[in-house]
Formats: sequence, structure tokens, C-alpha cells
Amino acid sequence: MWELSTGGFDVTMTLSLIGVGGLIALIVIQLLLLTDLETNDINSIEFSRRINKIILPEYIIQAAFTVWFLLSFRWVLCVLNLPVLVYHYMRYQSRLHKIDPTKVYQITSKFGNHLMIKLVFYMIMFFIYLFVLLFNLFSE
Amino acid sequence: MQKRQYPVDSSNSLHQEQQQQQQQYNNQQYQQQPPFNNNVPNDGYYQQQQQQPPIVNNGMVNNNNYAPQQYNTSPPPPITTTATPPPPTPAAPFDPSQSTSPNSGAQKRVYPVDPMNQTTASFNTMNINNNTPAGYPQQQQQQQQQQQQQQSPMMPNYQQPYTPSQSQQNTYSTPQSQQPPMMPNYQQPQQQQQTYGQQQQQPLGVNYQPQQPQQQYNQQYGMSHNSNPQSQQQQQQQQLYPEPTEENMCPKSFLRLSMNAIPNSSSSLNKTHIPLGCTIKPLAEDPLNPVPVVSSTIVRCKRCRSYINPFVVWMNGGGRWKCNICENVNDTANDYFSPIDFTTGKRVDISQRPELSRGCVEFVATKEYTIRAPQPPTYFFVIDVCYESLISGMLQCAVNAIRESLDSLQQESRTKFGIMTFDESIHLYNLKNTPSGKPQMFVVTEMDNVYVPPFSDFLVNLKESRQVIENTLDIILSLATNQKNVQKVESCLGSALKAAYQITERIGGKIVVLQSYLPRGPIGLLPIRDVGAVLGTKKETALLQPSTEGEFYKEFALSCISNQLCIDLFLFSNRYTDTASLGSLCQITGGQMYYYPSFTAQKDGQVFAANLIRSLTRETAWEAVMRVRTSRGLNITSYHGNYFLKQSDLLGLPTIDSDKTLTLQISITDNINSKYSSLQSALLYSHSCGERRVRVFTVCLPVINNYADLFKFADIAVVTNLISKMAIDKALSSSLSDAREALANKCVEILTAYKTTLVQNKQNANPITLSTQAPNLILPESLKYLPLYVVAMVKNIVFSNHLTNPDIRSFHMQRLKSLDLDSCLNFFYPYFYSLLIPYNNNQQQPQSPPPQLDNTLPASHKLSSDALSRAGLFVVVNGYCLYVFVGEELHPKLCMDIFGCDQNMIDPTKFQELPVLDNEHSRYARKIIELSRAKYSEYMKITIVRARDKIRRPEFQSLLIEDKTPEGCSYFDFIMQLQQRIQKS
Repeated sequence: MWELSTGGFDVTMTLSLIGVGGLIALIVIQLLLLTDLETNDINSIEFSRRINKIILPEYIIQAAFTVWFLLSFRWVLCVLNLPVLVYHYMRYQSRLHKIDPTKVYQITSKFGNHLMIKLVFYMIMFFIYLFVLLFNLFSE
Repeated sequence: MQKRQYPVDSSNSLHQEQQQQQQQYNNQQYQQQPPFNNNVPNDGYYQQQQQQPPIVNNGMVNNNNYAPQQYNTSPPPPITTTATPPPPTPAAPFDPSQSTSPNSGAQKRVYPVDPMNQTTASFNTMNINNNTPAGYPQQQQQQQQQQQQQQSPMMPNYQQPYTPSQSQQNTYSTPQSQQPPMMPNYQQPQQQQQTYGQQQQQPLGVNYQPQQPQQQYNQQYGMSHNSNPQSQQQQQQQQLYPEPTEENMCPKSFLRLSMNAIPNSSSSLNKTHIPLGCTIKPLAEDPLNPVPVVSSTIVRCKRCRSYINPFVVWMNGGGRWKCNICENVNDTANDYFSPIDFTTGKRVDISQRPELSRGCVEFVATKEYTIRAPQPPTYFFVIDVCYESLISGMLQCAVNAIRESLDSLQQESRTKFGIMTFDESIHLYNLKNTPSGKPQMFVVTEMDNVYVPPFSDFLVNLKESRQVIENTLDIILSLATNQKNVQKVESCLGSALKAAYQITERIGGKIVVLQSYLPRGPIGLLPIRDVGAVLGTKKETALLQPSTEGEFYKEFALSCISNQLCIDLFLFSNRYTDTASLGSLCQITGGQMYYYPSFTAQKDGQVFAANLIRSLTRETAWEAVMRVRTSRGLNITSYHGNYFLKQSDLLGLPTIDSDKTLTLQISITDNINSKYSSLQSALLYSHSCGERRVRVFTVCLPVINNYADLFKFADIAVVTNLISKMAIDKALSSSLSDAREALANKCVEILTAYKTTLVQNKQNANPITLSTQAPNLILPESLKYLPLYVVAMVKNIVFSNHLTNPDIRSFHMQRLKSLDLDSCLNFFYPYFYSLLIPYNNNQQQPQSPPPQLDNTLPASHKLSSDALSRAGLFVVVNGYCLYVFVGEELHPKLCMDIFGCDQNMIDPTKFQELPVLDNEHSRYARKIIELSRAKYSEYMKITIVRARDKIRRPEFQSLLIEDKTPEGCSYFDFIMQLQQRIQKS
């Protein structure tokens, strides 16, 4: 874990922390929209329009951090992020990243599960970043 | 108000109710309808009648070496035990001579399409009709007759597979089912049967017992508890639950379930493997069951918002009622209160309130149900006037068809009409009524960003501007004709749709698009997808789905949904059209796609005109939404058809018409403890006359505990329909081969499940087998045609492994999605008739007068080449197309009589209609075609297939699904495979 040995205040980690916080926020928004959809508070067209606005930014933030970890030689963090990056890439390739309003109700449960898994993942990442940040601060 | 406590005789109540019904609906036609399930005890007879051979269908000419030979030389029926067993015919593929003793008919079944069996059956009847040929003792004949009767339910050779279900379903009464098309015309054999009927052993216990109508009904709907005195007592002690009867259930022409009983838990449903679901045809044209229109207050449950229906339970002497969907107890409003008649247990005013006695009613909605004033019927035409449209004659046809339908559109005075044409620019017509009667024409040339002049007169009242509209149609035609030399091929569909959207978005309605090319231009361009490389591989699925560029049309369709716009698409391209991408326009907006590959006016003009007129003039509901509510434990998992799901259970249908059907899949989420389960569909729509209406269908079905009984209540028509819809989804989500696999697996699963139930309770079941060669393949009576349909589906153009143009396959897939039950089954298993006048049995002359001039079709042959003959003339009807097969040795005189020319002179590329000739043969052939067409709402075109036609013959041959074809194995082979697979599992 040699990359943890960066002494002092770690700017990268702080940014990552903010970034992953943003990702969690995006996921929570999606989950809220999903609940709205299930209680018929918004219709499927509106739901898809709003979700589709959010999904791409989420992918981009996640991809940006993975690449940044790679460039800054933080291998462990990069490898941890890689599965989600691959998953996002595959979704993007098969044009599944955008929600199809005509099929919304067929995918809601699956979509909800995906969101929950991602939420848990981002939470874990959040704590790892926090740990690394604090570890570096106090390792001096 | 006192709580009613004393018991009420339910049979009595039914009687009373019927009387009341009679009083009220004396003038209505549905009284003529036969008692519920009337036909079931007669099923044997019914099928027996189907058994009658179509006399000699092909023996017109003496040099024909087919049927006459059979007629003269085929052995006596091998099933007779007393007669000396005949030598087996060498041609027979398998041994038909089964060791059937007169009493064992119920056990030994015959493969329904056993070719040998067919000969047997026809020979039997011939003997009867021929008044005993020499050397054939009368005694034997009687025995044959008996045997035939015993076996008849199992070998419906000449019968369309779903006829039994039609007879069972009884309330499903189209004009055709009242006069069954396959009913033979001669009565003699039936009379004889009646004479022998006393000695006859009823092979299929339950269904063949003579029963009272109510009992029959109970049997069909699983309410056998009535016969049990104990349960009757229980019933009397319980709250009086309204019994589902013939009167108060929704007719099956509107709503039909795949099972006429509901299993009590999901595990018992899963054990049977039969899909649970229903088909709803909200605006079905059913002259026998007119939907009563109710204009009194609309009473709804406070909790689940379901509508009042015959199955609610009245409590406190009518002061409160319990909703049958959510079991919430509601107070009766003062103005709706009526006391309960204690002798019947019904409300006193039941005869004045159709919503309490009928399963299908239509409420006139109040203001609360309207967001805006009900929209007028609106038709906006978007016509491609590029080069191709002109030279193929499409434009001419379209203009004529539109002009023809104007009169019937005008009957509704509010009808709005608009028209625009486009090629590489958009031409708009201001149809405002002016003294000159001439329209103003605007040309929009900027295609990237379409601007429509802000006039409201592109869409006008048809009645006011009729003269201008007629002139406009003339102008469109003359302008286009003048431009014939300018070859415009840049067909900007995307921009044209945008313009049409801007004109119609405030009103909503129907946009009719006529398109001759793959769309080009700056918006909505569709690329030509590479077909050759992926055809036949797993990647073929991608071609059946919208392309990336096709997203434009999907998004456009979504914007139409919010503005109550529906799109009907007519495609005429002679090259690749990408029906998969364009189809989303219709699928999402509830429209319909019509596709005429390589359209020419000579060939397809008539069909196109008929379909266009039909799509404009059929009964249409505007700005509709639909919701289906189910009682506790049931859950609707998915919908099939042309719709858009606005909310999780709210279907948005900008328009829905009398040809559209929706299919629902239902799952069981919870154990059901109640005795009955209900399902209610409600369609809120604007009627063309300007009223907002709610059409409510309610069904109530008994819940049964024993899953083995479910097989008895399965409805093969809906089951087949559901399986096919699920297979289409499978084909689109994974691949065609997976879909075929899934079809076969489903069949295996159901039959395996049936076999396991048989092990548990033997006495109640009446299993049948399909062939003597497959004694271990046992099927429930209700699903005996399942293997046949599965074979038919696997070989159908939608799923077959044959390399098919993806345009055509995708078109048929989309068509199938919203197709009604009859057409869907028929598309899988077509009818097959001979067009030649059948012979009388004893004379070598055609019957005269021709037998079926009384509006009934002859019996359909089984779909196999065995029925074909070189000298014959046949027609195969699959609901989409009529294939007329001309045998190569068709007698020249007959050919002359029917076609008016020599056989070699018939040009299949130009043929449209049989010529009207004044002779018996022509009249007979035309009558059959006319009767076949009358059964479908869609007009069928005639395709001539000559025996040596290299293109059409294989297509025709693939329709004969009981044969081995390049698409798959024969029906018999499939049965053998099934047996093997079921034994293994």
C-alpha cells in the first residue's frame, strides 16, 4: 500500500471524497424518483427524462476518478473502482444507460436493485477514501 | 335496515333473474344467444359433423389420380372389429389399425391428423351416404357408426383446432360462431347418430353428460360444489355471494381468460405451467352482446375506485355494499339505494340497472372524468408524393380511398380533416371554406427546422369544407402527375411528421402516414441496415428492433402520447424500409402498421384501399385510458399490444379501435382464500359522438384449490395467444432460436405437469392421446391442440428459421402483437378449402346446387399435402392473405370457368380478384372467398400459387404445417419428440 504513504494533506483524496459524495447524492435522487414513479406521482415519460439527465454525469464522474487514480498510481483504489467502470461502459455500449419510457415498468425492480448495489458500493468507497485521507494526515 | 339472514335459494334466484332479464331486454338480441355452454354436451356430435369428409374434393376430373382412387380402392375401415381386418395400405406412414373394441373408444385415441384415419373416416361416411354398397352388411355399418362416434371427439380431421373452444366459449359469439363455418350441410349422418345415440358410450365423462345449463356452467367454471348438499348449506349460511352466470359475466368476445378458474396460490399455478392471462378487446364488434349504455350516476368503491358490478355483495338490506375487488364495505348513496328482494336476494331495481346484471356496461361519464371537452374525431393525412408513390399508383389509390371514406366520416358532424403532402419539401393546404372552393397551398422548404404558418385552417371541419377538400384531393393528384418527370426521391418523413405534429398537437386524433421510401432528409434519417450478414444468426434480433437512428421515431411517438395523437402507418417501399424502427410510431401510440412490399396498384391497390377505408371508418375511441383492477392476490405483470404505460397500471391509448386487442399476463402474488376472484377492466374514452364514456368489463371466477383441475378449465385459444406473445418478447430480447426453444419447452412443461397430476388423481381426469404411435403422450382434453399450435408457431413466419426479410418478419411480429384472438390462431393454423364444387358421393357429377351457398363454409382440410391434388384448386386462408393453389392438371374447362382464361395466362403479379363469371364453378369459388373474407376485419389479398411457381410455391408449402417442411419437422414427428422428452423428464 505504498500509495498510502503520501504524507500530509491529500488533495486528491479530498476531491475524491467530494466526488463520491456527489455520486451518492445522484443515486439518492434516482432512488427518490423511482419511489415517486412507483407511487404514480410522476409518469414514465417525466421519470425517464429526469433520470436520463442524471445518469451520464454519474458515469463521467465515476470514470474520471478511476482514471485519476490510475494516473496517480493508486493501484488499489483504481482496481476497486474498475468493476463499476466496466459495468457502466457495458451499459453505455449496449445503449442501456438511457431509460426507455416504454419499458420503464418492466425494469423498475431491476433498476432499483442496481441502484441499491451502487449505493452500497459508493458508501464503502466513501469510507475508504476517508480512511486514506485520515491515515495520510496522521501518518506524519 | 335489518341485516338479511335467511337463506336464499340460489337456483331460484337465477331463474328469477333470467325472467327479469327477459322482461327488460326483450328487444335486445342477446336473448337469442344459446344457453351458456350449451354446446358442450353436443361436442361429440359437433365434432362428428366436422368429421364428415368434404366429399370428394378433387374428383372433378376423371384423369385425376388422387381421390377417386382412394374412393374406389381404399380398404374398409380398419377399426371395425367384426369386419375382417383389411390389409394395411402400403402408403400409410404408420399403422392405423388399432385394436379398438367398441367399448374402449375412450382409451384408444387416434392421432387427430392421422392420414390413414382420414381415409377411414371418409370411407365410413361414404358408406352411410351411399346406402350400403354391395357386400357391406348393414350390421357392420352400424358398428362403424358407433365406433366413429366413440372416436369422433379425438379425431377432428376436418376441423379447425379451435372450434371446440369456440363451442365451449359460447358467449364468444361472433356472427360466424353462431353459424359455425365448418358445419357441413347435410344432416343425414347426424340423424343416424341420434338413432344409435342410446348405445353410445360417452367417452369423455364430464363434458358429455347431458346437463342443465346452470350445471354445465358450473362445471365449466369449476363450481361443482353446488351439487354437494353440504356445501350448499354452507353457502346459504354465508354472505350471499353473487354467482357468476352467463348473464352477469362479461362476454368472451370482450374479455377472455386463459383459465376459467383461478388457482388459489402461485405454487399451484406454477405447477401447471399454464400461463395465466387474459385478452381484452375493448371495442369488439359483437352484435349479439350489445353493451348497454348507462347514464345514471357512476358508483365506485371508495378505496380501490373500481366500478359497481354484478358481483358486489349487498349488505344491511341494501344499505351497504362490499366491493368484490378490494373487499371494502361502502355505504350506498341515498339516491342509489334500493331494497333487497328477499325471495331472490337481488336488489329490487336490478332490472332497471344493467350495471348490476351485466358484466359489460358503458357509463356516460360526468364532468369529473373530462380534462377538456371531448375531442372531435380528427384525421390528418401525411402523404408521400415522391416518384415511387406516383409510378406505383399509390397516390391515385389513396386519393380515391380517402374520397370514398369522406361520406362515412362526415356522418359525425364534428369530424376534423386535414391533409399535407411531402417529398423533399412539405406542402400544406389551407382548407378554409371559401366561395371559390379552392385551397391555399403553402410550401415549406426548410427541412431542418420546420416552420408551420400559424393558421388554424390546416385542420378543418369536414362538413363545412367538404367542397374544398374534394378540390384539394384533385389538386394533389394533378400536381403530382405533372411532376412525374421530376424524379424526387428525397422523402423527408421526419420533417413532415414534425409539421403534422405542430398542426395537430392541440387537438389530438389520428395521423395517417403513407410512406413510399425509407425516410431520408435531415431529420429522422434511417440507414439501410446490413441484412445479409446477420440473417439467420443470433444477431438477427437486432434487425427486428429499432436502430439507433430509429430513436427519433420513438421520441416522436412519446411526444404524440402526451397530446393524444395516434399514428397509422402505411408503407409501400419496394426496398428496405426498416419496419422495425418505423413500427415504434404505431406501437407506442396505439396505431397500426400496414406494409405492402413492392406495392403496385394492379396487385395491391384493392387491398390497400380496403384497409385504408377500414382504418378510417371502424369504430374508434379517442383519448382513451384503460386500467385493469384485480382482486387481492392477483397481479398484472405485463401487457402486450399497442399501448403506452402512463403509470404502472394505467394504459394510455390515444385511440383504440374495434380491431385492437390487448393481452395481459397475470401472476398470483398471494394465497387467495376467498371463493371468487374478480377482474375488472375500465376504459375511459371519448366517443365519436362527443360523449365521455367508461366501458367496464367485469369477470368473476371461482378459486379452486386442486391444481389438477386447472387443466380442465384452460382455454386453448388464450393460452396459445399468451404463449405466442411471450415468445415474441423472447425473440426480441434474446434470439429467434431461443423463442422457438421456449415454445417447445412450454409445451413440454405443460404436458409434463399434466402427467404428474394424473399420477395423483386418476379418476377425474380424461386424458387423451394424439396418436396410437405415441401412447405415452397424454393431454388434457382442453389442451389437446396445444402441440399442433406449437408446431404451427415454430414454423410460422414470425419465428421460423427460414431466412425471411426482416422487414416482413418484423411487420408480422408487430401485427401479431395487437391481433385479436381468432385472427391470431388462424394466422398460426390457417383454413384450407377446396374451391371446386364437391362431388356427390354416388355420382360422378358435381353437386347441384352447390352446397354452401347458404353462408357456411365447407369443412377445412387438415393442413397437409395429402389433401392437395394435381387437378385441384385450393385456397389457404391465414387471415392475412388468401393463397389460391392452382393444380397443374386443373381441367382447362374448370380453369376457364373460374379464371376466365387458360391456366398459363394467369399472371400472379397482377392478379387481384377472381373474375365475376356467370357459371356455377365461378360462383362457388367466389362465394368461398367472399365468406372467408367476411370473417376478418382486415381485407385479404389473393396470391395465386401455381404448382411450378418457384417463388410462391415454397411459401405456400410452408403453410401446410402438418408436413415436414424446411422450417421444421412434421406434426407427427413433433408428437413423437414430445413423447420422448416428456418420458425423459
